Amino acid sequence: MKRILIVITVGLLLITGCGSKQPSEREITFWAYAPGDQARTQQVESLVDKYNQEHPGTRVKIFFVPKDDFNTKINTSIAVGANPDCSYLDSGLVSRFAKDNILFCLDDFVNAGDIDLKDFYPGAMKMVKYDQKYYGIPLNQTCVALFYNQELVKKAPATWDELLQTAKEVYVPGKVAAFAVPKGDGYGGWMFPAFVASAGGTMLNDTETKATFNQPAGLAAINLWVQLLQYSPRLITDSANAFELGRVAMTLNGPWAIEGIKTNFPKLKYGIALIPKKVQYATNIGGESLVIYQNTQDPPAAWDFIRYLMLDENQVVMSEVSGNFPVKKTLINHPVFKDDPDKKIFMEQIQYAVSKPTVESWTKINDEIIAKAIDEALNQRLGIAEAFNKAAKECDSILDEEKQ
Amino acid sequence: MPTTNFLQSKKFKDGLTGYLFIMPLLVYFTIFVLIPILISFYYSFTDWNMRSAPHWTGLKNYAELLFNAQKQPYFWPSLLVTVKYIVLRVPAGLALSLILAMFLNSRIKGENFFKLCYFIPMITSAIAVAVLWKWLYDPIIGFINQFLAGFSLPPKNWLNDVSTALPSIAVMGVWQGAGYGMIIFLAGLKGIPEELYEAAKIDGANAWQQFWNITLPLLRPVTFFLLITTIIGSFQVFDQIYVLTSGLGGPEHSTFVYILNLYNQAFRYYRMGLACAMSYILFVIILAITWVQFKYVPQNAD
Repeated sequence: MKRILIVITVGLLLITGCGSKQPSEREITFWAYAPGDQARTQQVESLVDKYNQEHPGTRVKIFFVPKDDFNTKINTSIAVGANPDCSYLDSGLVSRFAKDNILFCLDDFVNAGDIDLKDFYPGAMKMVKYDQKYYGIPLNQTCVALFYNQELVKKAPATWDELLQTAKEVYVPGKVAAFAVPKGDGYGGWMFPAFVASAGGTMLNDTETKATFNQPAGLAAINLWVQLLQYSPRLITDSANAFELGRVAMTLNGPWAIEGIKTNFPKLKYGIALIPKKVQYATNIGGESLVIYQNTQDPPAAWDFIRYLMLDENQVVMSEVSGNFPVKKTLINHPVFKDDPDKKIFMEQIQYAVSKPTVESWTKINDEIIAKAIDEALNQRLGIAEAFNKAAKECDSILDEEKQ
Repeated sequence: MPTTNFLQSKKFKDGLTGYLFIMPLLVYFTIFVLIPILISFYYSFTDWNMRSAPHWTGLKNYAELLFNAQKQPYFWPSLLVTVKYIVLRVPAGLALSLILAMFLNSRIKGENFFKLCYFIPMITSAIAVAVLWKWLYDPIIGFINQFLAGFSLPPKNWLNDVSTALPSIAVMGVWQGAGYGMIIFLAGLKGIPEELYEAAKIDGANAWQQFWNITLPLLRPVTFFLLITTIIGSFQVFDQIYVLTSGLGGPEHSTFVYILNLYNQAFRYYRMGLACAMSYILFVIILAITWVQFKYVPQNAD
């Protein structure tokens, strides 16, 4: 078995090693998500070309990988040692990759003052830390906000009470549902922590060793969803494009949805508002970071390129290409974001982003335990407290095991 | 010398020609199927997240899957969902295929046209079929609910209701697979000698008796083949469910089939070693079921 493995590994190395490098020119390979269309691809390519022209002696080679395949491809490339020098990486994965000793620690560069940490949003920076050290630099971030139909909802609700009140008012049985209540799936599990945070709670304790989502804030959050579901029959909200066709008055969605609405449903009068709050505003966070790999020949060269991408004007391009938002606070006043009412709201909402737990088994806990409890509560298989206490117990035992 | 003689013999040359012909497939099979299968057997005894080196953990993955319901709460439930899917999918699929085949065998006009129509879903990608059916099942704009509304029947949330989600997906599977079974059954039907039916008619057998005593028994080898392949295929159902249920086999895990669980273990939770162990457990289950069928299901046309 070992022999076969060696033969295959060597074979793959030979295949990938064929692109031999010129000794005089240092080459940095960089993997990025493939942008949605040709125009955006060219925008990224021209940024790279510009860098290469300004830095003779260094050549950055960019490879575009479709977002859906990216994690699988990067994992496979790491397994056979054929990974790039630096790449995009889903911010949620940075700490896990760091734990496996795959990423190059960026503390030396960061501490040398190459970038100013004060410029960055803390939520985004927290995600790229592992063991108190930085292993990535957030490139862009995204979150969800409240989309509402302006013909059905005159004034966007700002608090949970107003949200429930509005839901009652707009609900027309069999015709208009109030709110697309998330479900117990991966997406719903991604939304849920924002509501818990809004009620002043957290999913796990500070050290991420115990579940806290069954405390009053968590129960209040799921109770809100249960209440909203009364005015939001799934028979309406599960229909395709229910919000876009005016059948659902309010929904949670991200900036990526805006272009589709504008192109395909130009008649829809929609507004975007901050997610209503209980004690504080909150939203979830997603996005990509830039990382350098442990086995890179020339980390300073890779870092120099990363720093170039983090320059203000390049940040704007990189965020626009991804449909996400910059991670630098200073850019909130940049005309691209300030003058667009939709983007402005998202820039405001993103300040309240709370990151999801960084424990290795979080996705599994989310899918198998929290998603299930959300479903049990929403579909009234169990009482809210019963479902969540059971889930917290199951979560604790997985966290206990992970610690060992 | 015997070697030279052998190298020049017709037997060797024929053999060489044969091997050269199958060479491309053989090379492909070895590199992309056989070797990965063997390697994954090794990985099934390791803890491997696809990034760092795999650690040998012996039978730990197998023990966790089979006996640790706390860590793997969906292993047995997902197997049960798969079995339910097979029960819904396989008998209905075989019956529909046979009905279509008999319809086409009755010397109707435009046989080839119908053959083509029924076979198209088979060669369409599972994803495209899933998207199509998602529209059909849509609670408001979907054809099925609009059709029901025509008879004043209440609408249903087909894909999002625990009681209807799995049957709805099975119906889709039956529809997609019917054309394939039909072609195989049709070949079987064409192979039944006409004299048998003539003799039966002379003896006064009606259509039902002919079907029950001639057609079905003589189709046994074909039916057996389809039964085996359809069951194996249904154990491996994945892509339609992945597309239709947002990746977690919703609602409430009611469509969370075995392979979807396996896929999530490998590509969502990065536990490739555990996923490999799951694939070997499935292999053993399929092997056992197929063996039982070979042993106890009549397969010859006696």
